[in-house]
Amino acid sequence: MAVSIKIPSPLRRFTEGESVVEVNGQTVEEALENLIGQFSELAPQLYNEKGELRNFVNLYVRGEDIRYLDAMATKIKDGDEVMIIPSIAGGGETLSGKAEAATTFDRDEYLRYSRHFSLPEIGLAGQRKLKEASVLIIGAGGLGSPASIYLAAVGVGHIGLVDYDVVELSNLQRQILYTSAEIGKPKLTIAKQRLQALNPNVEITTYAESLSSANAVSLFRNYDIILDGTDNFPTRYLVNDVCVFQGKPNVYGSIFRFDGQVSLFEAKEGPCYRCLYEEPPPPGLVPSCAEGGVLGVLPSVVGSLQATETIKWITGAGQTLIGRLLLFDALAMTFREVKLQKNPDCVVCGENPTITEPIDYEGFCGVSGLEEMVTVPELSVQKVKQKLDSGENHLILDVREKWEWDIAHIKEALFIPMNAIPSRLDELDPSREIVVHCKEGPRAIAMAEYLIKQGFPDVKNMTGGIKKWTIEVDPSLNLY
Amino acid sequence: MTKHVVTIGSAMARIEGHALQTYPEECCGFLFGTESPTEFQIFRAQSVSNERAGGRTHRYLMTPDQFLKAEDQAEKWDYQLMGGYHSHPDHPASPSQFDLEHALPGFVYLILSVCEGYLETWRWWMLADDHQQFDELQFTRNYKEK
Repeated sequence: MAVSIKIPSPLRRFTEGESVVEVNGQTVEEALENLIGQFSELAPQLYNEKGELRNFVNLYVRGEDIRYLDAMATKIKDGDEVMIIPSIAGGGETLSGKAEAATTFDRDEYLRYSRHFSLPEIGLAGQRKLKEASVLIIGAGGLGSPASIYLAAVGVGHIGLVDYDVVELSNLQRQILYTSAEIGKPKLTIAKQRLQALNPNVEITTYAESLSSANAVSLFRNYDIILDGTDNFPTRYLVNDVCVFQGKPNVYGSIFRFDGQVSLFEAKEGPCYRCLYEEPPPPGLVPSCAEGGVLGVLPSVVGSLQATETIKWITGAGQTLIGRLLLFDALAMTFREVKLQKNPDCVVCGENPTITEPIDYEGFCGVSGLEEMVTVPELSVQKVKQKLDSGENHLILDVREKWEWDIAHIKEALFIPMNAIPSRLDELDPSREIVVHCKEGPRAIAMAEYLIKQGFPDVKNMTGGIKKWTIEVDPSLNLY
Repeated sequence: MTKHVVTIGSAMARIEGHALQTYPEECCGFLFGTESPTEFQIFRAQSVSNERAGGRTHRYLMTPDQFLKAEDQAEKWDYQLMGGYHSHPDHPASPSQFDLEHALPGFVYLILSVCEGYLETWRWWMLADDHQQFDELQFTRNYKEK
């Protein structure tokens, strides 16, 4: 087979100036051998001491990279053009001063990622970008589980995980990184084993600490993109702000009951989380997943969408969610999207930002209470029981959700879910002592504070909630 | 005996601007010109985007596709594609081990050192025949356009 080989200009000094050389051969390998037969000086330019093709060499047949074909064994036909096209890479020393291997793939990796190589939108170039990329995942729970599993599976080179929790039985309904045998163990120890077993080519770094204003800046610096899998407002604002400061994209996802939200906040090109939510909701008003509940499969839908956006951002494939908020409703089974505008007055990413370094996010979200604290008096479950038995005129107010009421409740209690309380204040008699309870305390304290501020003079919290009540007063009730 | 380098016109100024603009990330681009028995004469520079997905503060990549386009451009201008340039943010203007492992033979390498956002210096290099090191090319002068 007679084919022509196109020589890139820098190598033409080794082919006596020829830009196209005619050779014979059945395969790319034979054609190259015959080329070297004509120009022996080319051999050390194209091959290293071990006889491997040098890093800069890319070979194309009929316009296709031979790595997608049969590599050096790729068959060639009469009249084909084989092109030698360099890619040029390099750069300064790494901080450690160590020489770093080039981004190449071994035989197993070609197989492992073969379904990616055949996607034109990803291909070899995209897979290389994935291998060179680093992603920091905040939270290894409901969202972090599916996101980290997929990002490890597709070969993101370096994944960092931040989480300080241990595995609990109530996590297993949705946190698919963990199994029943691992209850009580640190999440990150298990996560690292799982992800490493799934894909040994991926580097996993774990940070068993809680993300804070003190460590976020230095943690984020080592990563290209941050995936937010947090379940609380202080951390969510912290992640957003530090991403804006460092110009990094923030893959946002949140879940509640049957609803999910996903977006990509990249303040260089679009809005940030604060453009969407300037301020957090008042503390206690939005129940956490522990309090409000969440459908087990929901975090996997949302976490997988976050992983998808991460892969798209890294590879440059398709249109990302920058400037769009995706709303998923599992009950109606619908996806809707709303357009997001950048807020020119945004305090972190606007034209005149007033916040340029991490602040006190607990205070900002009212968790530690910068505003004047109302002290809620406490009443033990034993005292409540005594009062009940003695027939005192006090009201037990249960502010939990309906499903919780159905599992277990104190039969004398008045049941009003917390979100309904502002509209049902008239059902409460201010002249009576009101004892509020929830499952363990946080919601009851928040609602007791609310009632005190509304002018109810005698409101108390039943310490430890119905959980303590069940354990210490009435074991016939169901624990949950 | 290694050849000397001369630059002609505004190419150098544009390259320096590119290096400052991308700091703290590495910039990269192609160099076009002609070759005499004693000199590489650089007439033009063409910046390209650094195609590395991550670690662009200490890595750069110019893809085969960008290389092909540069060769087409050389043909249009009737120059040779002589070499490439890239910056080392906060590192010296000498080739790194990584540069060596990826070096293209016969290609002129210009490396700019940008420290804390300011241009420190630049030096010219070419891969030695034994592929074990880079030889430094002496820079003669920059000729301003008439």
